Parts: sequence; C-alpha cells; structure tokens
Amino acid sequence: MTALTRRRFLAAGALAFALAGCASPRTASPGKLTLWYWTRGLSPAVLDEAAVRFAGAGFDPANVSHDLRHKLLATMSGGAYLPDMTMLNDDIAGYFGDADQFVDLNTMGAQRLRGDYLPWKWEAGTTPDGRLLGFPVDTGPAALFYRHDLFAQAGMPSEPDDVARAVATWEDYFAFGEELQRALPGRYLITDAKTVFTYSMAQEPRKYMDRQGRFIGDEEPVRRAWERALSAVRKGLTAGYFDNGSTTGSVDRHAAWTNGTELSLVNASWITGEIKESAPTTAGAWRLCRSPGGPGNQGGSFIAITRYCPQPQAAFEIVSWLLSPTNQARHYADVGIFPSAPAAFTDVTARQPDPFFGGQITADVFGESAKGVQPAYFSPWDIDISNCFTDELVNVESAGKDPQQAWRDARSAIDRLLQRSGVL
Amino acid sequence: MTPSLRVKLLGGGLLAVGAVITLFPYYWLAVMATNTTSDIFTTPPKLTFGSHLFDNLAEVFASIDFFGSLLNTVIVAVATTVLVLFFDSLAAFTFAKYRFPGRNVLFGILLATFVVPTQLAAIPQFSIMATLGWVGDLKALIIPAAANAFGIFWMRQYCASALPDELLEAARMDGCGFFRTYWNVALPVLRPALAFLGIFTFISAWNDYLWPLIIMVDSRNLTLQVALSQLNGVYGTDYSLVMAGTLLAILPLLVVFLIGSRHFIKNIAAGAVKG
Amino acid sequence: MTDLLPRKAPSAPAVAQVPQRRRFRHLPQYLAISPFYILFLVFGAYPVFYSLYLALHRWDGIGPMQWIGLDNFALLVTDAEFWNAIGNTFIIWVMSTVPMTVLALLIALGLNSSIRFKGLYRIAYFMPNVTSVVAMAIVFSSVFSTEFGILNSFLSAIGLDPVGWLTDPWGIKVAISVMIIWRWVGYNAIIFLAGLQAIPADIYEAARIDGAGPVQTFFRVTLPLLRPVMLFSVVMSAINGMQVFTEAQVLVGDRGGVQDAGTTMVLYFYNMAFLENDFGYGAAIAWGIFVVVVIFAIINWRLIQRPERAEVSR
Repeated sequence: MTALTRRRFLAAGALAFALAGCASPRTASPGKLTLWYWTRGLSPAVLDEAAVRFAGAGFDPANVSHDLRHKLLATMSGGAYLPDMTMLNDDIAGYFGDADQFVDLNTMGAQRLRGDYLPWKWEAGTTPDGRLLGFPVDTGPAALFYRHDLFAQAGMPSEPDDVARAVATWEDYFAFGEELQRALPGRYLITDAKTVFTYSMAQEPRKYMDRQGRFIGDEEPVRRAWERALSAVRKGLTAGYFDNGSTTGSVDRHAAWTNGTELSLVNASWITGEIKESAPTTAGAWRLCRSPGGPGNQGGSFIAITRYCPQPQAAFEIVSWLLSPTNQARHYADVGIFPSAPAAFTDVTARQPDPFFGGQITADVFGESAKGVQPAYFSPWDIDISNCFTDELVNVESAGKDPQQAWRDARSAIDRLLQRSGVL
Repeated sequence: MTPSLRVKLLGGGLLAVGAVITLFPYYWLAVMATNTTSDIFTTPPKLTFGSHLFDNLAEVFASIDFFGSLLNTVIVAVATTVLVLFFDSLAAFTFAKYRFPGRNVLFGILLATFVVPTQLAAIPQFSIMATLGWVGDLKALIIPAAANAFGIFWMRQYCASALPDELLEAARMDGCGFFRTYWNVALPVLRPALAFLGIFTFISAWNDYLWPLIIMVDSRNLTLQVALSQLNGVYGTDYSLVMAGTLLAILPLLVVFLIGSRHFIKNIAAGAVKG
Repeated sequence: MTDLLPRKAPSAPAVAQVPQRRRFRHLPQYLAISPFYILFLVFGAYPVFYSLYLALHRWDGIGPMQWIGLDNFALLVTDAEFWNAIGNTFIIWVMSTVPMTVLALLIALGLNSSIRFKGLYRIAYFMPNVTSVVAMAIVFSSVFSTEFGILNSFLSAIGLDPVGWLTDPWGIKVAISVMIIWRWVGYNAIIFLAGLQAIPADIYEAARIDGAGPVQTFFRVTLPLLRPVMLFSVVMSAINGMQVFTEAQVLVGDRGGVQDAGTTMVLYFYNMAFLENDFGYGAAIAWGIFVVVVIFAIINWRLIQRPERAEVSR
C-alpha cells in the first residue's frame, strides 16, 4: 500500500510541523539589547549616537509607538519577544502590581544618580515598597500654545507676557477667548472639553485616589475641573475635534493647526514635536506662555528594564547615559520632551531659541512651569478613572448629553472599573 | 424612445453612477498618496493627482520594513492556502464519499463549530501560543488556520454533486487505495472548487487583522495589515505617507484579484446558489 | 477495503478481507478528516473551555490568577456598556443590511439586463470585498473627517451644513454602516445575479402571457424565487455583522467614540481583554457574545424555517 505510507508520511509530517515548534526567544532579539520607544519619545539623534556608542553591548532601539503598552503586556503574558528595555508612560503605576517583571533599578546603582532628577518624578517611578521600576525620562510641564499672528489680527494681546497676564486664570482665559472668537468667527479658542479637564487636573496636587486606596474623585479638585470644562463648552469655546486616541485620530486637529482653526491649546511640552511635524507651514506663527491657572504637569515617561534582560547592568549603563541631564537637553531640543533633570533646564542646548515659536526660548517657559509642579500621588487606576470622566465630557460636548447624567454615568463607570479591579 | 429603452438607459446610468461611487475611495486614496500632507489638509480639498508619489513612497520604505511585511504576508497567505486546500478537500472528499462509524456525529460537530465565535478562544489561544513559544511567530497565524469548517462544508457539497460514484468505483476496481483515489481521481475533478476556495482563503489570510494584531508582538516582524496599522500610528502626522503606504498595501491583492476575478466571481455566486 | 457511497454490494468487500485488517479499515478515513479535529481541539475546543475557567478569575495575564467565582458574570449582566455594545452591533447590522440588500438587488437587476460592460461592472462592484478593511478604513476616516473630509466638502459645495460624522453618535453608526455596505454590496449583487440567472425564462414568459406588468412580475415572480438566495445573504451578513470590529476600531478608535456609539461587541471584548488586560472579564464578555449569537442564530433559523414549512404544506 504505497498510498497509505505516503499519506501516513504526510500526516506525520504535518503533525510534527504543528507540534515541534521551536521555542521563540524570550527577548525580542537575543544577543542584543532592545529598547522599545515611541515616536517623539526620545531624540533620534541621541538614539543613533547610543547605537554607535553601545554597539559592543548590542544596543538596538525599536520604534513601537502607540501600540507599546498593548505589545508590552502581550509579550509579558506570552513570555516571549520581550524588549530588554522599554519606555513606560505616565501610567507607570499600573505596572506596580507586576513589579517582579522588571529589574529594580536601585539594585543597579540608580540611587547615586537620584540627586540629578526632580524628586517628584523619581517618586513617581518608585513602587510603594521602594523598588525603582522606571528611570525618569521627561516631564510634562504645561503651557499655553497660541497663534501669535491670529491673536494680533484680532487686535488682542499677542506678546507672551501680555497674553500671560491677560489669561492668568481659566476664567480670564475663557473671557479672552470669547472676545477673540467674536473677532475671528469660525475659529476656536481651545481643542475640546477634555483638554480643559485634563489640564485643570494637571494643576491639582490631589488627583483621584489617596495613598490608602480610597477614591477621592468626588471631591473639590475633580468637581472644579469638571465644571470648568463644562463652562468652556457652554461658552462655545471648544472645537470638539474628533480624537480616537491614536495619532491618526487627531488628523482633524492636525488639519486645524494647519489651517488656523485652533487658536490656542493648553498642553504639556511633549506636543511640540507633533505640532511641528503636522503643521510645518505654520512655523513662526506660534508662541508660548504660562498656562492659565498656573503650573501643572501632564504626562512624562520612564524607561524600565525587563527581568528577562540577560545583562541588566549593561542595559542600565545605556539607560543612564540616554537620560543623563546633558542628553535630556538634547531630547528636548530635538523632539520637545521636557527634561526631568533640573540641570538640563538651563543647559545651553535646551535653551536654544526656537524659530517655530518666533525665536522664543521655550525651555524657560516650561521650566518655570516644571518648577511650580507640586508632588502628587498617582494610583494605578488614575488614567482609567480620568478616561471615564473625559469620555463623558466628550458626550456632553459632542452629543449634547445632560451634564448631570454624564457625571452620574462617569461615577458608575468608575465604580465598575474599581469593582472589576478588586479595589471596591 | 420606447419605455424599455428608457428603462435600460436609466438602469445603465445608475449602474455607472454606483460604480463611480464604489471606486471613488480608491481614487481618493491615490490622490492623497500623490500629494503632500498640507495639500490634503486644504479646504476645499485637492481632487487631482499630485507629483509627490515617489517622495511619499520613498518615505514609506524608509519608515517601515515594507518588503519584510509583504514577504511575511505572502508566506502566511500561501502556506495557509496550500494547507487549507489539502486538508479541507481531503476531509470533504472523505465525508462526501465514504461511510464510517461516527461520520454523521463528526460532521455535526464540524457544523456546530460554525457558531463558536472566534474571540471566545482568543485569550486562551494567546496563552497556548505562549506555551508553544509561537507568540510573535508566523506559525501562530498559519497552523490554527490550516483547516476550517467552512471549506470542508463547502467542498463536501461540491464533491457530492461533482464526483460520480461510478468514477470512484472504477478507481477502486483498478486497485487504487484511498489516498490514491483522492489524489488521482478526486482532486482533478475538484479543481474548479479548489481554485475558488484557494482564492477565498488567500484573500482572507491576506486581509486578516484582529488575530495578527494580538499575536504579532515583535514590531519588526509584522504582517502587512499590522504594519499598516503601525505606520498609521507611528507616522500619523504625515498623512500623505500613511496614504502611500495604504496604497502599496492594497495593490498586490488587487492585482491577484483582477487576474483571477472572472473565475472567482463566478464561483462565489455558484457557491451561494448551490449551498 | 473502503466503502463507497452508496453501497452497491455491502458485504462483498468485507468478506475478502482478513479479520485483523477490519479493525483498521476505516483508519484512512479517520486520518483524512483528523487535521480539522486536531486543530479544533487544540485551538478551538480547549480554549473555549479554558475561557470558561478564565471567566471565573481575575487575571491580568501576568501575575497569579485570583478565583472570584461568578463575579465577572454578575458584572457583565449589569454592565451598561456591554448592553450598549450589543445594541450598537444590532443597530449597525440593520443599518447596513437593509440598504445593502436593496442596493445589491438593484445592481443585480441592472447587471441582469442587456447592458454593456457587464464584466467591468462586476469587477468594480466586487473590488471592495477583497480590499483590506484596515486600509480602506484609513481612507474612509479621511472621507468622514469633519475638518478636511471630502464628504463635508461636498456637502458645503451643494450648500448643506457639514456634519461631524465621527463626533456624532448617529454619524458614527452611519459611517461604520456605509463602510460595511460599500464592502459587501457587490458581493451580494453577484449572488443575487446568480439567483436571477437561475430563474428559468419560461416562468417570465408565463407571467407575461398572464398579463403581468414588469412591476407585478418582479414582486410576484422574481422576489419569491430569489428568496433562498436572499436568505443566504442575510444569514451571511448576520454572521459578519455580529463580528464587526475593524471598521469601528480604525474609524473611531479603541474607546468607541462619542457615547460609545461605535463600540461593537467584539471591540468591547478587545478593549477589556487586550487593552485593559482584564483577561477574566474579557473571557466573560466572550461568553456573553456567544450567548447573544446563539440566541440570534435561533431566531434567524426560526424565521427561515417557518415560511418554508408553510410552503411545503401548501
């Protein structure tokens, strides 16, 4: 029976193929030290230099971008293709529960560098039991970005100091905006209600949870931010651009920057690169000044070393070089992520006049904001809780949902979230 | 003008309008891929081709490993198609033409698997792939898709009607064993059905998105669809670049389709009417 | 050795064989059908049961699993977002299937008449069906964009107000439905066309002799005879409609857009399982989707069965 053997052979072959999978590597590229980062997360020039400098150790940066969190969690649960080093965003507290997946950077000698970095930033990368999970990359000091040319065209204050004085509080800012929009119909003061809420919260030292794990989102700071966002909507100051959370989700906004529909935005420094890249034709028309309501911090990232990294000490050498105060100044100059090492604030590289902002020394504006940031406690659920509030603000803004109902829905969504996570 | 001619002209006109609307997104894609991002963002939008296609394409090639992803997608699509054709036709042939204990029960189980939503298995499948060490590996895309209930069901119908028992009986008389009968007698007769199932499988494997998105975790080893979604995320500020990448990603399959379209379209219809 | 269907001489081959071989005489057949079942066991059945086990736990896929009994299911049945996702899935299904069926029928009728370029039309209408959804969703998001979208430019050009397609709960559903219609209308037109061509010409002839006009002929003759083909198309669209994911994810993002208007069942599942890494709750959602699909399938099946029985009894 030749057919039988042939068939048996084929079946056996197929089975063998199916079952004898050779194990995939634990790390993304064995023999190398991989770093996952996202676009505009680190300066390409610094990364290139590091690739040469640490070629012996096999340093190998890979841009994973907005999928990084999803991919990192997937590789951690799959135990395969893990990066040796990875950037983590301001949701770093969400990884504290799985801190054993990462190297405690204190065991690599991180303590001796501690003094070079902002204390609150260092704290934010440390787990409650004192493991240093993430090495500080950038901070997100907020400022007001605005269109100098259009402000001037409307006959409003347009020089940074004048604007800062005119929009000292959020209420001033909104009044200013109403006048501005009357002069420039069809344009909007600010992106959306979400921005107002987020950056109001960025100015608050008390966020959504306290250190005892109690929800405090019903209290004054959140209510104040919520009401402020609603008032901006009621006054018709928000454009309400569609934003699906990914970079392309913001194409409407990119288009608005390009054609001048968005007159100003309160944002952290890290958006600078995105504005420059998506609206290059507006170079020179932008200026920066102190944010309404004062200093605040929104976002800022870290680099962690995963526990599968075969040479954690070599990886730590790379990380601490990449994020040294000197190099932080270069990251800022290249992609606009603001340093977490105070020495870099005054570094000559960081303090280059920026022609995109009409020759302003942007580092001074952000540096002023960064110095005023008060330390705050971030719980592992802060980002998700904040999303519950902002999702509902979008509903009010875009779909005309009743604000009272929106608040109740946000609260019940948060309750469910905390219940699912086992906090309540 | 007779009423029937008027109806015909109207019908023809509407068909043409419909076709233009259907094809418009392709045209719009080509327009965006050949312009700069600022051109795309102007109001009213520019509706004519620009001259930046090659700049945009060059940027795509510099930004993502396009040919690597293309190669991965081709490997997955070809391997899946070959395996599906072999396993499905063999099983379909067996179900259609042979009687063996448990046949009906087994076929019933096969039909029942239709209603199991794929996402029900997605989380544990991820763990299984982790256990097998296939996370981030093309095997994770090929092996689970190597045989499917739809193909077996569809081919079985075809076998039952296209393969006369006399032919198989004659093969048996000639001393052909089971596998030889399948290989030498059944397969040639099944060729039209294989062609359809092949193109169908190839297209679905090529366009598959959710599972590759979950399992292909190595950002430098992706399939085309996932690479496209990454291009979209990483270079979102450069819209014309994203569009050039999108155009590139759909072209190969469109060419395959245009070559095989006549045959494929005919069989889609045949499958539906008979099934 | 092996039996062919139908058995011509049932006992003859068996007699010729040695008893020892009888035990294995069906082995080739079992081997032939085994690949599907092996793959299904490993990548289908086992994961399905495992997901039931998972649904009883709290697990982020990394740390240890924590047994929480039926808590996930208790949360699920009271989860407004999940019910909303079910509603969205069905609304989008109706909003896409109804216009798509009508359009497909019109196109099929057009293609069935004696017009020119039939082959080209067929290819043109069918093309969207083979084009990557991810790719075209990226294109459609620019069609529907508020700020620079081609659709809004067109609306302004003819003097209408622009619509915030992707910022309005109904706009989102319309946008997703339009994408589904665009993708499937040609496919269904081709199927309807085959159904139309299968109707024998003498039936039309008989209708004409009976004095039926074209409209009457269409509703009395053509439509009833197309019924099986249309049912096939509706069942197919139901299977696909319950799985809608990519269109929504690319158009309005992982969070589903304003008022979660674009959150379909599968998108919600993907969010919870693979973005929030709540594998336990994700598994519970998957089971919820399964139950919805089964109920829907039973209703579908009932609707298909009943009129057919009526026809048989007639």
